[in-house]
Amino acid sequence: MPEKQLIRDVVTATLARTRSYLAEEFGIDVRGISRDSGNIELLAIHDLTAIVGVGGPVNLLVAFSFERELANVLYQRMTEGMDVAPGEEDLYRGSVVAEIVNTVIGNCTADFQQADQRISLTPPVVLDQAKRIQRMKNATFISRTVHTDFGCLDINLVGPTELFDDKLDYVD
Amino acid sequence: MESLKILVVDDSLITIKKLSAMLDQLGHTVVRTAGTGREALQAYAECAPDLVTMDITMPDMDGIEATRLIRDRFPQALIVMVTSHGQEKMVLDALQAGAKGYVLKPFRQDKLEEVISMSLKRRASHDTQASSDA
Repeated sequence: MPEKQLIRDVVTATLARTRSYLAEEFGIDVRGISRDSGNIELLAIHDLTAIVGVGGPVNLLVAFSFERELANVLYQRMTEGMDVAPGEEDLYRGSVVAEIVNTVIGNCTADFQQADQRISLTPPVVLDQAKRIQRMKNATFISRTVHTDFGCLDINLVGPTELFDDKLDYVD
Repeated sequence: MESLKILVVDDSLITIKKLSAMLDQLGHTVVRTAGTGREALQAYAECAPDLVTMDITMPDMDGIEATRLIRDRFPQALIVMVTSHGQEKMVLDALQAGAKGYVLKPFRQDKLEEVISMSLKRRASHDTQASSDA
């Protein structure tokens, strides 16, 4: 499959799975999905972001970057009825966003699988600080914003993976 | 269903918590948890559980490799994958490595119960077959 078509399939699958996962697991409806017009030269990452690397033919990093209010609602709903010790809230909040990207992208591998080629995923990495990433000329940046009543989730696809470490910094 | 001693292998804190609560409600006991494939090998040898729930994507060593190694050393080990990976190839690789069941995240308690129950039946029929072959 041509690379551009595969990337389009990954974006489509990711958005569809995100929409259904938020609705079914959290009762949160997606109100709309927007995209930046033109080429993206700068990615702005919110202060809570979970990243997974997708290997095999896909070869991209997928970063789910959450606005704080949305992250808080997701955390509250996923930990409802659980004992979270005082002082461990941030740890669990990070675990919740990591689990969301892991589940959505893991489920997506069924949608963009190719014959007999294993699509590996890396364990999620959580970034807890906002950052801005300038695009270098051979990098691919794709970004979509998922809107909900509780705030936005930016879904960023960045690649190829060889250019970046697991925190979205360029590798020298 | 009989009450089982279970080893939960997953690198996600929230999944371990959710899974442990569900298994507890099903009448089982989580005797140990592990966050990597390598830790799982050691934990299995130390606590000899009746069943292992195994994630696939983990640091250090993935769940398919850990399943293969545990089954090499402990052929009677009963392992069920609990993972978000929906790719067919990954499911087949896990079953070939020796897993007896596969639960896709996000999981529900009834699905978990069904897969555990089916895995126990599969092992029982395998044991019966093995003893009649002997």
